[in-house]
Amino acid sequence: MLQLGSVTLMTLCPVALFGIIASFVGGAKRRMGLVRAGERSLLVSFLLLTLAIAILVFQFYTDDFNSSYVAGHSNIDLSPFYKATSLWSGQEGSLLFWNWLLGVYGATVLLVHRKKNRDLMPYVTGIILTAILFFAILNGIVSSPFVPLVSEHGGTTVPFAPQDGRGLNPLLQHPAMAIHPPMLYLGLVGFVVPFAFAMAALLVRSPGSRWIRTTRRWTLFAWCFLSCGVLLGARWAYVELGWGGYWAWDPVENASLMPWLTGTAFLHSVMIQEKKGMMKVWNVALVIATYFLCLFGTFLTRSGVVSSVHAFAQSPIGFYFITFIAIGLALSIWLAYSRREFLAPESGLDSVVSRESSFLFNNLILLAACFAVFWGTIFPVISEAFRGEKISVGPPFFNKINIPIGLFLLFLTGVGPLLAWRKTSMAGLRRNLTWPTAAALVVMIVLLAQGMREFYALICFSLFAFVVAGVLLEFYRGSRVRMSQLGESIVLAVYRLTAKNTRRYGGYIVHIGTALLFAGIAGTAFNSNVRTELLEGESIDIAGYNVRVDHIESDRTPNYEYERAQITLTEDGREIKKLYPERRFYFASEQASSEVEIHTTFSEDIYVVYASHGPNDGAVIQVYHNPLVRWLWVGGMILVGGTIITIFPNQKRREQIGA
Amino acid sequence: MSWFVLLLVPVGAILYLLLPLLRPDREIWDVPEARIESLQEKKRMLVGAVRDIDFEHSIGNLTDEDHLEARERLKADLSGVVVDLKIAEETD
Repeated sequence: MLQLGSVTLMTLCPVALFGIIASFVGGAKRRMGLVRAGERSLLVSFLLLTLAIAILVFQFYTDDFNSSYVAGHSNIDLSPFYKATSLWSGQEGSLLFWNWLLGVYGATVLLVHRKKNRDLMPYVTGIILTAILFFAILNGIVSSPFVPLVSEHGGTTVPFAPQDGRGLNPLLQHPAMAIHPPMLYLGLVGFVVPFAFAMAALLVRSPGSRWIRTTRRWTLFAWCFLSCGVLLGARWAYVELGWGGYWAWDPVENASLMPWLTGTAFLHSVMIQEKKGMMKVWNVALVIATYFLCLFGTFLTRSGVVSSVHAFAQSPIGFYFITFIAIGLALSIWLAYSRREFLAPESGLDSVVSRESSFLFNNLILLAACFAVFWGTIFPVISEAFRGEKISVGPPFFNKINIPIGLFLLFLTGVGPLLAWRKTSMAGLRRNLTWPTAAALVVMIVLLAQGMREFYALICFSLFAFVVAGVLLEFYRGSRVRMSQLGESIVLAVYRLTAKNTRRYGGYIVHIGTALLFAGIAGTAFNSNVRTELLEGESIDIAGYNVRVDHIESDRTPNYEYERAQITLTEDGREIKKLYPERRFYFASEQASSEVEIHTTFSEDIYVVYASHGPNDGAVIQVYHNPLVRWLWVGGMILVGGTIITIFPNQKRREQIGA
Repeated sequence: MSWFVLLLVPVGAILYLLLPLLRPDREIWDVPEARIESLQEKKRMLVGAVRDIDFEHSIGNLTDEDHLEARERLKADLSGVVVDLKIAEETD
């Protein structure tokens, strides 16, 4: 099986290379035979990658420890579910998985678009195949998942298969971690589609927004998965890492946030190009930035240039990545520059008080946030290059910069939808801003009266009210017209309003999700925690709750041994819940992990960690009180739900298609 | 692993890829002329903008005065683009 896997990956390289040459030459000379051969290369690449993935999965399920990758990331007692997820738990497998997703996207794009966009498709195929070739070279030559395990005997190497594997990292044995990487990868890889179409449009000198219209849903699809991936990563960090938080500004977290920020900017700015023919250069720049930031994040995770709790170990692939990024970026910029005459704007800004103007500010703010994150992330590398020592900036830097930026962004999230395209008069402005402003002021006064003095939290909650009131006002106005003119009920009116303009109203739902996310993040201003050793029967108080250790026990399973505390959580003398935090030690990987227990309500979380066995034979327990964390998860779900709505076609269009 | 199976993968792939090159090139595709594509784009944009302001006005986000002013301006732009497009298509 290892040989077949290796042959499959080695075949992929010439197939992709042939496809790139055939596609670009076929496109330039309009030779259909070459174009078809290029398309077939993409389809064959996808099939070869699928075969390679199938071989690797088969090896995991058959405990084929002759494979170095399987022996290093699985063991006999690992549950079947995690055997499947072991596929992407190491560098070699995750690169193969990434490339397979490229193949999935490429083949799907080809089948969907090859008839409609005949002139663009050869180049789109060639660009996607270039990405596939790069990963195929990495997988086939530098970091192959099909390397046999060998041992040395008297100077010669012989194949070696251990009785059992080293097992999967215990931190990765969590349901969120099982779906977080595929979600994240679907997002990061998915941005290849708008990037490929943008480059293809430049190559064929297509002046308009055809590439944007063609890739709008692909971009939303990728952004939606990237959002899911980022949120699931945060959720995994929260429930699995046991430090009480969900975002530590770790380089790998930042690596996924940066393309999300530029991707968000891109989703907004393309609307200006579609509506007004402006910002063509900007959109090309954003799609280039987003795509290469996706690759840059992968480089950060895999090169070992920055220290991270969940980056892969230092490896030689960093050099290949940075070379590919540098060449790709230089070619993309050169292409955009050489086609600048086709990127001239068709109109100008009519007024500063307009929706496009608010989108412009939103873009600048998102890019400022992205730059701050980028700078903070690579600062250790820069400091090492110039001063000889790695200096990490840490969360205080990121918070100091990004909190005000985030609040301004939240303000724009609320204002943008209330401004008209092109120009908003003072009368219109007054009319649209009155209620949201009133809602924000009421919330601020109520919170001040209740004694809240944290400046940023106060602003954030007020802006939350501003955004939600603005969106509700939009829904109200739209549905009111339907109710009065068509006699629809409020529920039906809201449904049909949304269904007939999914992009607009789906977008508003995304804004509500964003506001909830921000409010959830603002809750961290009121976090508290306590850490102490408790013997059986002892308790501690936190935020009105009593945490009592009833019993401490230890035992073992085939996969790990554990110590566990049985804890009773009470509020005002009333028992709320039994909690069972535990500390595990996994035999195969010889690693420890904490299994936290969380009592969640809509207003707060009580987060209990079994930190260690105490010196007095008690349990060292750390309890965190985290307000409003659920708002974050609910906000994330609403954001994803809203994005899915925007992907759907308008109901009117469906009706037309049906007729 | 039998050599036959190992050879099947690359040989099968190569045969499948080269097949289109053995057939004569028959299909060609139309490339939209840049100026016409640009004008069609502009027309689509302006029609969309009129639809947008009509909707904004209908739900009360635009005052009557703002709506009328914007609509007149857009209609004038649209007429110009339609004429230019017609000329470009006739001369193409």
